[in-house]
Amino acid sequence: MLIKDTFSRLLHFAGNYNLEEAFTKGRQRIPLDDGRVRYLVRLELAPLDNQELRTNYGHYNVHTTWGHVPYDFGTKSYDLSGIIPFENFNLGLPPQKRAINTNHLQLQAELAELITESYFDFNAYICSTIDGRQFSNRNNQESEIDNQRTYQPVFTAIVNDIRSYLSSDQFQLEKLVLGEPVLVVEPEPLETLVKPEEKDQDVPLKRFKKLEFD
Amino acid sequence: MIIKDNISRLIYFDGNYSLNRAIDSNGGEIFLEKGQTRYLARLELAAPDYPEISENQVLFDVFTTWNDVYWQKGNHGAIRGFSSGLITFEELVREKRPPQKRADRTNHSELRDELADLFAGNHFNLNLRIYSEVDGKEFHRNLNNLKTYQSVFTDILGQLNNYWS
Repeated sequence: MLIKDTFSRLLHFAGNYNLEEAFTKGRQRIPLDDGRVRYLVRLELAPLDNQELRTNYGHYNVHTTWGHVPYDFGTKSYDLSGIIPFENFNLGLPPQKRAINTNHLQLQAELAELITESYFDFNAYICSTIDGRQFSNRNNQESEIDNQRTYQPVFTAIVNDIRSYLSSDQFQLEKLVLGEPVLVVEPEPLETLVKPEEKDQDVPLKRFKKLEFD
Repeated sequence: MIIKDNISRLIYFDGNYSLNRAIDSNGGEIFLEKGQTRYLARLELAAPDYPEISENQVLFDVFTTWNDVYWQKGNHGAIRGFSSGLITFEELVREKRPPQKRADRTNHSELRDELADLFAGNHFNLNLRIYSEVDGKEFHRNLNNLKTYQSVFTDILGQLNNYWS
């Protein structure tokens, strides 16, 4: 029987970010009242001779608190009861699987400069309060958020996190011992995010309707 | 910022085995003249708190030289009998590599329990592919894969036992 014995290293990063502005695909700049973002990253590193990661991937998905807001054709507006409070949103679990493609080439290239001794598979969830439907009821591509441009500061923060960890003393391949996590840092509390002041529940609806008739 | 840094161990193995009998779904024995088998496996071992392997899994799949052969009923002037599509064992195993992904379920709980004893203190995920020239179609019977390939599983378990100790 032939045996090949190797390893794979799995890093999970998570952190918070406050965005101050967003950009639509129509190149419109939108200042944000509530730009809370949490990122959850799965980064797998494998030796260059491994059989499973044969190329580098940089992939991300954006999930917003508006993900389950349906359009109500009766009232011709969005049903805002579907908004999930950011605190209850998926803030815990990073992706559990590898990315199977790349949708952020620049990020992939930046990581490739940092990680040269192994292949990597980067898969990230961006959990966000920002959704294009907040700002316009016109359901067209122009009003959609340009994710790559809007979340660029978040990607920069993620790359910085990874850079600082990879250059730290904790990250040493010779310390690898099966069965013992190399490092576990306690979660950062959500309170570090700037939460906008509480407003009446129907305020978003009013704001939305105002935009609708403008 | 939160960081979690974990290692999993990946072991790939492959080997050959020659079967001399198969067991059908009714428990009947079939003696084999051609029983070449090759197995390719991906075994991942991790600590119990590894975030992506929360339980032990053992999955095996069987691929045979008869996979593309089907029974044609002879309608519309076709010949009644097996279709073409039979390949040789060498063609079946040519350039085959171990599975590249984790098993997502278990279809051999007995082997899983035996491996759990062997790798006590770790979680594991075994994804196994068996390439074989044994197929029930040849004998017009359905094979019981668990019983037919039991000696292959025993061989794998023995080899892993040697390797792990």
